[in-house]
Amino acid sequence: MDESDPQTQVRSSEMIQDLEFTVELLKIYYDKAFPYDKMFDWLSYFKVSKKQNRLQSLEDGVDSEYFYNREFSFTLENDVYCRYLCFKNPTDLKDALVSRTPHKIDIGAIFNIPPKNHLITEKKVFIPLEKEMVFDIDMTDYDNVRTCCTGAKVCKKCWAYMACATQVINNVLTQDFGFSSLLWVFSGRRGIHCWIGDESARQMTNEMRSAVTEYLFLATGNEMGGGFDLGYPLHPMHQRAYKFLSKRFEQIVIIDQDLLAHEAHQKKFLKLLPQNVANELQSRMNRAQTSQEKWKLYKDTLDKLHASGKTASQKHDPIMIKLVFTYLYPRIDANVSKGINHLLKSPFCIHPKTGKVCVPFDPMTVDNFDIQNVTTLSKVINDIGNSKDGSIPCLKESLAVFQTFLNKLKADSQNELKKYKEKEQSTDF
Amino acid sequence: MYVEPPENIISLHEFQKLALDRLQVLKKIEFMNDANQDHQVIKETVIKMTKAHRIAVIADRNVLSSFSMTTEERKEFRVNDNISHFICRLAYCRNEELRKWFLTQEARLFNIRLQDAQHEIIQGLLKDQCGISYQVCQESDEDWQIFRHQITFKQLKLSDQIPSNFVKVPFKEAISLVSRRAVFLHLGVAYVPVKELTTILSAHFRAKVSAELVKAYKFWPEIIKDERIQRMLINLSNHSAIDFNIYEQKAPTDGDKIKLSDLDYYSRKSFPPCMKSLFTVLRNKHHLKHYGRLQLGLFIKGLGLTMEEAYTFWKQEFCKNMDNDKFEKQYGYNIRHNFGKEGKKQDYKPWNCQKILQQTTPGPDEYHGCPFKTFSEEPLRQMLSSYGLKPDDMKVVIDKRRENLHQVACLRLYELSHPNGVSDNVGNHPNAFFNSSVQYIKDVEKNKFKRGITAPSTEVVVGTAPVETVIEKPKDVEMDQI
Ligand code: SF4
Ligand SMILES: [Zn+2]
Repeated sequence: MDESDPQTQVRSSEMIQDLEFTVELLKIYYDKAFPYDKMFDWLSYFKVSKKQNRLQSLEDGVDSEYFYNREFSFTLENDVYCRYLCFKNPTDLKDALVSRTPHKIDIGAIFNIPPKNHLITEKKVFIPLEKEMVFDIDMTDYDNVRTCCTGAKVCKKCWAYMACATQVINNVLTQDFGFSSLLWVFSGRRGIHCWIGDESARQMTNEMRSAVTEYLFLATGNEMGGGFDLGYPLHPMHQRAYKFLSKRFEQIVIIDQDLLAHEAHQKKFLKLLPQNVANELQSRMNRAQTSQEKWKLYKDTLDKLHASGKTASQKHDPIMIKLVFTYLYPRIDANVSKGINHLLKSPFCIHPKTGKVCVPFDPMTVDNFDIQNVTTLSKVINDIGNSKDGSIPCLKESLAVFQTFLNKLKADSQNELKKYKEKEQSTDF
Repeated sequence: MYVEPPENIISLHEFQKLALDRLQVLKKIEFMNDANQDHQVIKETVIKMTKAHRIAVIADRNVLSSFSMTTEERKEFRVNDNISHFICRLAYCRNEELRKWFLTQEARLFNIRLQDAQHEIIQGLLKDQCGISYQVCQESDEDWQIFRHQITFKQLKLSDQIPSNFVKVPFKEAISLVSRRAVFLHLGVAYVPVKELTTILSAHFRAKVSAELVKAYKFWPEIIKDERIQRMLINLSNHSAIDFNIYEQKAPTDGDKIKLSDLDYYSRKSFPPCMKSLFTVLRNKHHLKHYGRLQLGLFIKGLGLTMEEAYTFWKQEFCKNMDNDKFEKQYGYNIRHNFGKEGKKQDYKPWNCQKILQQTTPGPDEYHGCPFKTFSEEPLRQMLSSYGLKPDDMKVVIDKRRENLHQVACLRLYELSHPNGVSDNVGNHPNAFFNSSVQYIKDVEKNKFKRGITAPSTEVVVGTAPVETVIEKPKDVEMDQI
């Protein structure tokens, strides 16, 4: 809510290319383009109230208790922030979005009662029961390793850091933890979010969320910390990450970011090396020009030291491990992931500063995600104008990604149901 | 694992005595842990105490036999263990703070009793008490064949790398191992070395007691219907010896009041590292992220600054980068919130060291937490030298930190930078660091002054002093300072 660096906010206005963000356009978007049914499918997790239950339910029109007990929050035009909103069904949500046209929609936890009633009941019994586990990665956390942009700006070159983060996290969550329903979303300006939709993830306590987070988290970006300790032998998960990231290190850090050509960055780089290597290198590096030349010098120096037996053998190269993890390992905002009660921006919001749509993307093809040509509000409006059947071509791809996620959830919920029924039958002589 | 509540009929008085005995043990455990005492020492002390109070046995039969206990005794101990646990549980269920304290100490006690137990015993306990038996790895398992080297990544000794040394545990039941990355994970299964099963069992124990505490709380109104019981339970949990280590701020007398304009002066020597680093960053970058603001904000509140002063303090810095409007909108609420003037209207207490040490590892541009834990050695050295520590002294502090004794390191820093000063609770609370330091500075000033006038006649004074009066040896402090 409050972490935006004031300087970047000023700068961000420079980058906006085709910003046409007005309340009127936003209203049209919420009226004609926002995918209500899909959002409902997602957040209800196909737990739709049965007809019989609905008779018992005190309130009319609640299509899914699970959906209804979910907290939404809106940020309105002048930074007015409304929490504890909830909606009975897709139409109810639509009415609210169209009439209030929030600049930002956040999604929170599922509570034991509809969140809007939280003041009516006693404080104690208003508790969050479930929520997707989420991850949030922000480009500004990479400011000390990028040269192309700072703050809110993002280009293809620095997106590479995000692409690395996405793939490492995606791999750990699926392989190590066995989660299978992940939704990755571009956050509209300079970050990405990941939602883990698996039931087992939604039901995690805060302690479990913390454990998953700690497992993944390394304090690589912190200037004071610096000494993150991976230990040896590397944890198998780190070993995989290292294998993946080290292949990309030269291209991203040395070539694209041209990092060593910048004096400040070169200094930081040298600081990461053991004293004897750094001493050897410093003066020679100062004479070289480009980042690649300097990198070559580093490698030569290291080879020489290896040959003379002054540093460890090449098979386990602790220096390279340190470099790769320092520059490329995902920098997640740990606090977002740890709490069941943390709200996160909804997919398909429009970022007011960029006009970009917060689109879901496929982690497998994240390398090709074109950060500079993300669908914008004005493109959507354009498509709506040209469309005869109400379809919106520029959203098609991201809606398809979203649908794949939903299909997976649907299959899971049907399996769940089947298992449940079988169990019922088997106990039902 | 205290599943069955006690049925025995015994007098209220006996109840109370057993509960008090148990509390003594728990408090001792807390005390020794906070003082960072050696594990072995803690273990021995606690075992002795529980034996003396006749309340608890330990899991390891071997150790047990060395205490040579009869079956009768064993039985008695068991019963007492159960009763005292249940009573304390009732006494400590009534609010979050009490529950947390009780849970922490009980878990520690539980762990002490499990230490050194053979994994067979642990497996037995898991099965009997929790109904859990984890699947043991087999040589023929497909997963073992594919991942064997990864599963055993920490087991460098070849002999440990056999399948039967590992069991398959759902990761959610192994969270402390997961968060330390001490296990191999695959598809949500943690491959736990059998010697780590203690951790798993104790996690089950914790979860169980925690749930039971909440449950007990729900019955609280029922329980306290009997006035005598109510009185007993409240007394048990009100024991003055339980100091939750929450720092109560002394009402500053007028002359003592810390002024906003003094902060820069005090920050140099009297702010502990956790606050100095935040303060310095704030002065340089004119911004702090959320947790940093909280940590420093509550500390400053603890110095006795009014809300208005605190508001000015933050505004001065933040508004170097933004206009007043934005500041008020984004941060005004939070500042008032800290002072209990907004939202839940809760009057927040300054954080103690334990709380600070528990914070999430700071991410980029974050500086909260305890530098003895979060800083790497180089920045830490710089920090220490800003207190005027000499290289030799620095080594003493750094050594403590290497042993992960963060709070002790902080205490050493205090002692070394305040020679012969009195340290009251330093290393437990940042505000204690500050207060002790300020007091120290005042004393030094005063002594300087006193010496200034009395020095010439010292001998006379000594000569005429009544015999009983202990004449304090001049402190080294004064020598150093003058
Ligand atoms: S030990 Fe406590 S007072 Fe000292 S730096 Fe750490 S948190 Fe601050
Ligand atoms: Zn860039």
